[in-house]
Amino acid sequence: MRLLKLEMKNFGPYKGKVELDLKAKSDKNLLVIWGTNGSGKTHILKAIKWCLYGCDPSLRRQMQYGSERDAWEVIYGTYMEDQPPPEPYMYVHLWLEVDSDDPKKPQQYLVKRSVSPRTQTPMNATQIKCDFEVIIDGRPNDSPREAIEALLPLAASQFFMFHGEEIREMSQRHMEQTRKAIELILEAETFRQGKEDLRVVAHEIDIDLDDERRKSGGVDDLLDLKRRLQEKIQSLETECAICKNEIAEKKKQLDSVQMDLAKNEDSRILKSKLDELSQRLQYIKEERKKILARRGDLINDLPSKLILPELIRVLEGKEARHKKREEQRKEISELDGRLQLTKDVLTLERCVCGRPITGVERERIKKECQGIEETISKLQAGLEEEDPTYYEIRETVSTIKSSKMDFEQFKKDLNENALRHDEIEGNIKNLEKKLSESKIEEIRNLVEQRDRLLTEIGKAEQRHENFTIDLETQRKRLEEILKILERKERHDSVKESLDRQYDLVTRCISAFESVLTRLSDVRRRAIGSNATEIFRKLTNKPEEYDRIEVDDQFNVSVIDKRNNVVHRETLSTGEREVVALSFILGLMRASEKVAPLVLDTFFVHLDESHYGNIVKTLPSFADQIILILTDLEYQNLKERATSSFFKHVAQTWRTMRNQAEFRSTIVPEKEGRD
Amino acid sequence: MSRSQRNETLADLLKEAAQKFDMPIKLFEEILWEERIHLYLAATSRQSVRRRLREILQEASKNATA
Repeated sequence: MRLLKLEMKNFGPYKGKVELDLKAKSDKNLLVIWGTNGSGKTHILKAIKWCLYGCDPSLRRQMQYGSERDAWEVIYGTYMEDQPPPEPYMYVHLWLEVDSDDPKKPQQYLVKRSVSPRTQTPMNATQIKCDFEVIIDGRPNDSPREAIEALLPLAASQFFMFHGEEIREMSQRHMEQTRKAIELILEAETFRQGKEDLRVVAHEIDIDLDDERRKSGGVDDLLDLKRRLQEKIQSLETECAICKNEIAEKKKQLDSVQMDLAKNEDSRILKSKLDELSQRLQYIKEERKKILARRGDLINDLPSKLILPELIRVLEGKEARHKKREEQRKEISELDGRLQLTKDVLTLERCVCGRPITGVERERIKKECQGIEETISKLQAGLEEEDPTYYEIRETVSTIKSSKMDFEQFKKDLNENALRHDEIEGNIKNLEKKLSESKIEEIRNLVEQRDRLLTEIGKAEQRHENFTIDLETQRKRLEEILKILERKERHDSVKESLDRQYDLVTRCISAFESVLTRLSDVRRRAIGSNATEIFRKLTNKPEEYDRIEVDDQFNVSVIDKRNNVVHRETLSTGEREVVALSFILGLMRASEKVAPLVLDTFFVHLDESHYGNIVKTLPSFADQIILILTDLEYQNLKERATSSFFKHVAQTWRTMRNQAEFRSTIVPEKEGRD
Repeated sequence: MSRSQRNETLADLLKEAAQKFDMPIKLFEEILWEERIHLYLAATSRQSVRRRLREILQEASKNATA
């Protein structure tokens, strides 16, 4: 990662927009910012850190990402604690270049962090809003924080960009927090934590595996049942198939028989007629039986039938007398009616026309009444006696006549029956003769065969239906068993997957452990070796000090030429700073991170020799180095550094404080570029 | 030790461990990335990292089958 440009507005003591071109080249990799105390030079470093992380990561602070409070502190600093800002808006934009797979085409990053007010005059951190954006090759990144972490982790940044005071702290025994940060940069913490996480994951997988083991338990019984059902189904399917074949075969035979029957259609018609006649003959025979049954009754009734003509003759004689008497009675009845009417007239005083009835007329009517009465008396005197046997004989004759036991009828019925019988028998004989001439026997056989086939097909179909029902039932059972097995298989598949995961995670843990063991050692040796290389160039006692050693807690020791540990207390402040710088540079290299080195107010405690050595080797420390110096340090540098050092300086800026306006400014120095 | 040699050191260690324990290097890198990002950001919960690790392992177990 190389810084290309910094643009900021209203950041810290800087009011308005500030732009710094930070481009560095391989031969011009130094950038110098100098100024008096409180002129805002450290705020340039802070602007870079704030833009990348939203906070000022340093050894003194708990590592955590930026918040509104950080931004609030940056805006108001210590200058205007109780005053609202002149313009409540701040941003820092940082242009970066990152090496990609194609060395000719490095990735271009634009990191934007800005603060805008939530209210018109924000008075505390909750009333401002922070926005963060990372644009890589012109495209906004969805995870800006991760993108920056991938470049230079927050924890690592404190070893790349630091203040002189921090390097002095680094020269002391490492605090736990610092040690953790070192482990983090060196990836040891990654592997350690990874191993721990993988162990937990392995345990979780093992629990899941046990769960699956419990769920997927024995399937032997189910498999047995499945096999039995399958055999049963197979057997039923065979039976069904046999039935179907049988039915098909019989239907084929039936078709053939039907076809043969169709071929003998005439004969079949004759046969059907013959059948009909046979039925009729049968009926006639039945009828004849009934007629003959009447013979017994006829014999019983025969005497009365024989006296019937005599009875009829007697009845005829009685009939004449009966008629004469009936006529006499009718005549008397009519006369009775006339007499009654005449008597009624006598009771009337007037005629129907209204005229009164005269006496003469009354007398005449009376005489008429007497005459009618005399005639009635005569007729009654001559009335025939009623024959008491007449009705009895008439009834007997009627009964005998109406009796079904009619011998004549019997004979007639019998004859008719015999005639019809003979007729039908004759017809049958004719038909049989005709049929005998045709293939009657064959047809009979065919019909019999057809009937038999139809019966057999019916039975086979019934059997087939039974098999099908049974088959369906068994299939349903099998389906259920298969479903259960499928569920169990799913469990098995999950179990298998979990087994594989468990295997992977176990191997992964071992691999992590193996890397961790070797990594710590390799990285520690790398730091020691790099730190020694740098230390030898920087120390003012190259004859006395041999090397730098780093223990497993990343504590640094200086070993002298006699292979003795030089106690920290015996080292001077400047020496401790040189040791710390050597360690940090060794750490930077061992971390495999590429980032600019920012040294803020670093040269304060260095003696002539250390100073000279550092200045001489400084350009080789990193690809891009930003030096932040006090005015005294800068004067020192100008006086002591060689011209070859200044050839590496790409740009120099001077920070100034305008006390009247309460603001800082930064201006480039022309002589910086050489 | 040059920078390129140093870069190879971690890569070598990873490769060596992957070979030794028959680990797919891709899986190795994926797990490392999750751990790194978690440690760097210190924002996600441990539980979420472990959940993510399980997802990675599940995916890897599928690939192993395929």
